[in-house]
Amino acid sequence: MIMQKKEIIQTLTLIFRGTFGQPTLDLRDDLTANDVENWDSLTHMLLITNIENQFGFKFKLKDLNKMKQVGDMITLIESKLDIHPL
Amino acid sequence: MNHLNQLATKILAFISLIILLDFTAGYLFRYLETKALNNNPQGMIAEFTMWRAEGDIMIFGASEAHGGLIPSLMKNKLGISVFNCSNDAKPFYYQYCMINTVIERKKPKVIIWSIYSCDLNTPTKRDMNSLSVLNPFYDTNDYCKKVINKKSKYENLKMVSNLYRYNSRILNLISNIFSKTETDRGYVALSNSGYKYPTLKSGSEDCGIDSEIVDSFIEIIKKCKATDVELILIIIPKFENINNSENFGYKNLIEICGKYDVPLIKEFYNSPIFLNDSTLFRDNDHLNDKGARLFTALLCDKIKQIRETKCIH
Amino acid sequence: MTFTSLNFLFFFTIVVVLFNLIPQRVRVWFLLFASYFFYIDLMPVFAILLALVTGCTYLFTRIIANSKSAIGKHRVLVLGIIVIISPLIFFKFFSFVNLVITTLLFRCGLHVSLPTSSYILPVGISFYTFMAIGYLIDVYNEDVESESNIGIVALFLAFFPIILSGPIERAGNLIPQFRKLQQTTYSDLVAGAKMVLWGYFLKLCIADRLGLYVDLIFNNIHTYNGTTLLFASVLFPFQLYADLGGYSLIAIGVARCLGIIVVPNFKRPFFATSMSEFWRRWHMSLIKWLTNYIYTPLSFGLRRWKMSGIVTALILTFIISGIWHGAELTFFVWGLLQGIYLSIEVVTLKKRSEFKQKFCLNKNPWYILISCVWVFILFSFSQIFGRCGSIGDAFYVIGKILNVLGKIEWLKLMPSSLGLFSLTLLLIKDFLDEYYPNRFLLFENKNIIIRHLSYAFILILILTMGVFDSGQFIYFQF
Repeated sequence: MIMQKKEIIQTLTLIFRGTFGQPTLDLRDDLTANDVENWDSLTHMLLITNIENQFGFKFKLKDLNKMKQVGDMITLIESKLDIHPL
Repeated sequence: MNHLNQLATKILAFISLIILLDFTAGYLFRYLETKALNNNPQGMIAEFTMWRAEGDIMIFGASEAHGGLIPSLMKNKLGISVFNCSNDAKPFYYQYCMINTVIERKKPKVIIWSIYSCDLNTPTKRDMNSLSVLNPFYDTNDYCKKVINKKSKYENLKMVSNLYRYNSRILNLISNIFSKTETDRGYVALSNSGYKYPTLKSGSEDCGIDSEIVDSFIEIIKKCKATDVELILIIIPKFENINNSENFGYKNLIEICGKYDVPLIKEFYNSPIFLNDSTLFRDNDHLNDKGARLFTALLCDKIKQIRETKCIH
Repeated sequence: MTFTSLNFLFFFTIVVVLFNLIPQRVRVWFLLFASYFFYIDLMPVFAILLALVTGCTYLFTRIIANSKSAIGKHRVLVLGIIVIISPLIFFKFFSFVNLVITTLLFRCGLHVSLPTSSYILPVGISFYTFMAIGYLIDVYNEDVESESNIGIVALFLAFFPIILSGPIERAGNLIPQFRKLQQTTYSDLVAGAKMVLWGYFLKLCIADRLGLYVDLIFNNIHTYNGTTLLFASVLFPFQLYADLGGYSLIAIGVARCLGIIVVPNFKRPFFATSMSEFWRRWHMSLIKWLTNYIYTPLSFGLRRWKMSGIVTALILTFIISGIWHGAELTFFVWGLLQGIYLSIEVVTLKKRSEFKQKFCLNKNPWYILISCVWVFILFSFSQIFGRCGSIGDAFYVIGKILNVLGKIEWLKLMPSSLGLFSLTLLLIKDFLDEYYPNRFLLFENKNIIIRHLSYAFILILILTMGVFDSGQFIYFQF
């Protein structure tokens, strides 16, 4: 079964809230690191690890540069999940 | 084109504003300078030497002479008035400007010039930078102009600005308007409070010479001869045992003095009288008050001797 | 010719005027010529090294871009990085490695003297090497296209405003701008001139002034008491900020006068409320570079270890940064300290976040003030290691600060006190920009009289209080 975009966003929101300690955070496509407190290059890698563990795939180093905002991240996760269905 | 005109107007307006402000600042600085000079001549010793200092004997040198020669004591011993024009950490070219100017303004009978063998060496960048106290005299004093122009080829350009001439001086001017340094006609005693008596340094020194400086040095010697000013060169003791046998600058200094028949009093430098007693020094390079009293007394005897032999001749 | 010499002002004016008069197609070559002229004036022989590094960078990026196989690309990348970085390592670490080997052999009882190198470090080598490596990796990652015009690549690495001291630019920002060099617009010219003016103010009126005092105290640490050393340690970060910040601003402004927008390097660092924020505001271009090319790959590789992976990557990155500043133990400790500070922050992140939310501290001015001061203390403490000549000296200074109190050496401060005045101006400006942006404008004021008077005021301050004819820029040696 392929995960719906909606489900991805839901899961991602929980990961974001947990990683950055922001219990009320909501995701938008154009959200960037500048908009979220505690989201910097240090916590970014925690986020990446949490996403990998939750969705069960691995990013490539090259992928990291492509995720400038949350929208990019969702697209990328979708494409990864297409190849690795849960 | 309209755009360009607008830009040109703006730039022109800005430049006029700067010129106006610079001009005004010039007035302000000269006013502060006079005030400071009136209140505290010692803090403005360059200006004071240039414009006002008087004495039958005038002393020139850097900090070693500033705290090493006592005018009141000299007056008692020699019976003529003395002023100590020394200024701390000032190199050869500063003394060159001052001595030339003083001879032309108010001719003293005797000039005592404290010099070291390395003073004839090529000036360091720091030496040249320390000449910036001469900047305000750039237009009015040809010696200062000549010396400042040696710094770089752009000096005449920089000196266009009054603000630049008084660069870094503002606090110095203000503090001299409000505070006063007590001196004995230019002498400031160095005390040992906060300083331990130094330990003797020893070694050897070898300084080169700079042909331009040697020329200027000879120029002053000749000028003194021509204007009948008695020039006496002295080497003030330091608390260090220096071997000068291989010192090119030292040999040259002695040679020049010999050639032009200028007395060079060097016997107190490296003399056991001073080298055996560290309590005469504030640090390795400077006599303290006790040392200055001893040195001044010895120097006066020596000067008397020189003047007497001259009279006999 | 350095930025603070009169020669540079002439050179810069001539370059800007000619740049606008000549036809567009030759502008790249003209700027390249000007840049090499500038570099050769400082370091004649080492211009050859710069040209060689440029040639290698060009060659390797072209090969990577045209290579079909992924393994081939990777091999060329690794080879390229090794070739490009080797001159830097040679010049920076030769004597250091030499010393380490000699010491080790000595400990083992062997007295061997190795050939010593007395080469001086080619100015700017750290900066152009970093830029070349960044460009190479970006091409490999397909973040930027490899440039086919060697003139543009050469200009990217030699661009005279930034070659001596950064900001460390990225190909993705500069190369597209070099491809279409337009005539400078009026607003670029004015914006650039303002930055240059403010940059000179920072450099001449603050950094060099404070430097007189800081140098005096730190060069005679045995003479002065702990309180004086403490005071000098507090002044040093400000000196550094004004020094590198001012120099960067001059560089950015000069580039802007040619219509080229260079990334900022400092963003009011002393208003950061945490060390991690501080490092997003201090020497930003270097930190960006380190993050992109060292920290991210490292932490990505170590991400299985979760938090400990991040901490390891962080500490390693900052140690590398420290060693980049100088191949000495002091800079190693300096980097280690930064790594430790940031690690503690990242580990306690959630706890601190909860604490702040619980007591609504985010906008509390007292909390912000205390945080800023705390960050400043941490940074100045680490800078004692950055400033002292040896690790022994640094511990001596710290020991003295903690134990030997006394009066501050005010008299010696006299020549620097004008610097304190200018520093106050800078801090007020930074404060207003930080908390009241667009409220109290001087350089950007709508009223032309206020605007011109503010320029004039700063110019007058530079002329009356600037330190001229003096020492070298601190970051040249890196």
